Amino acid sequence: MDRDPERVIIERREGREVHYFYWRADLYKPFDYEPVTLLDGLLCTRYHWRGLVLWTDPVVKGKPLMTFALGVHTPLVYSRSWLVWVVHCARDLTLAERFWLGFYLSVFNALLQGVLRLPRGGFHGYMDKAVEGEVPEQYRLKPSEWSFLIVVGPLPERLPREVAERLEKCA
Amino acid sequence: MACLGEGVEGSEGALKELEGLVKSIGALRVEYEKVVREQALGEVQALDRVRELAAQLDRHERALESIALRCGLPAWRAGLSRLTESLEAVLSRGGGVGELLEVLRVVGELERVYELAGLGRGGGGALRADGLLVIREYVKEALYRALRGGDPSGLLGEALSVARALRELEALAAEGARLVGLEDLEVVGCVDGKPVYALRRGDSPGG
Repeated sequence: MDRDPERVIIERREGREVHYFYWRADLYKPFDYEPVTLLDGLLCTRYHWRGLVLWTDPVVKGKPLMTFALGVHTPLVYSRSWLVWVVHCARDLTLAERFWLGFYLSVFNALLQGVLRLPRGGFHGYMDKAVEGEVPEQYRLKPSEWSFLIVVGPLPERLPREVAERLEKCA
Repeated sequence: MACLGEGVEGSEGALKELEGLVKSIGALRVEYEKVVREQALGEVQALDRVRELAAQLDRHERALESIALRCGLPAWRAGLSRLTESLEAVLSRGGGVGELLEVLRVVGELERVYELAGLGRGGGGALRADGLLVIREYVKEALYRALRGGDPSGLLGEALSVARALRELEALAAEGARLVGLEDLEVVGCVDGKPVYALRRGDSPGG
């Protein structure tokens, strides 16, 4: 990680461990939680509430490397390959979700074009900021409630169970 | 028409000129069609007027295209900055009805710039339009909430985050990044029986 949250809340619940990166103020909201977890062995982040991102080829130096980019705490995991796949329920996307998905895709495209460069150093762990606890229900990661799914890296042979179950419900 | 830099005054001048040209073109087209009808009815003397009007139309349309090319993006970027600042100001003061109406006016100006400058034609055009429409919807909802005595700050915050994201997109585009939207995706396979999309090959080095 190369951007400092104020705290990292480690929540263990229903057999899953989720690390929530916490900032006290995010534009107009009193706080912001950005979750990171493993789903059936795949690294998973959330993007703008309704997007789920699976990182299948992260750069690992002891732990996967990640940053929060572009002022809106957009989680980006350093990847060995920047193949970007999108699965979405087109008919279910709201206009706002269409926009945020396009924004994220444009950020990936800028990375692919070499226009946007991620920081190359200054990585450190975050356990000194970690506390065990629970996050408010409305900020909790719900892997079965996404509107669009992005996979960065090779497509996995099998999607994590909850993700696949959500996909089955897409028209 | 100079349209130098990206200043607000320059962009407003460009917008006025674009609007003037669009009006002229509209009026010329009406007259052109009228004269063509007269000519079809056998009034031979209308032929010179048809030629003259066609030449004028052509000149105006070329001028419009030229100004849109030179001034469209600067006008859009200046307008986005103004919109972001308006949203920041109204959010910091709690969102009065008069201020919210002013924000909607700024959104309306940007919509005109988008349309007149033909920004929908380039890459990411739909993304810009979607973002602007999302902002309009949030601000309208915020206005409705304020009129009923509620707190519009959450909705204004959402609008502001979209405006800032649009500015970040423009900064990337100014550096040469190609903006992409859902229309730039194509089906490349299936996972669990559902289509998987990727950016069209050639959109990026990673293809």
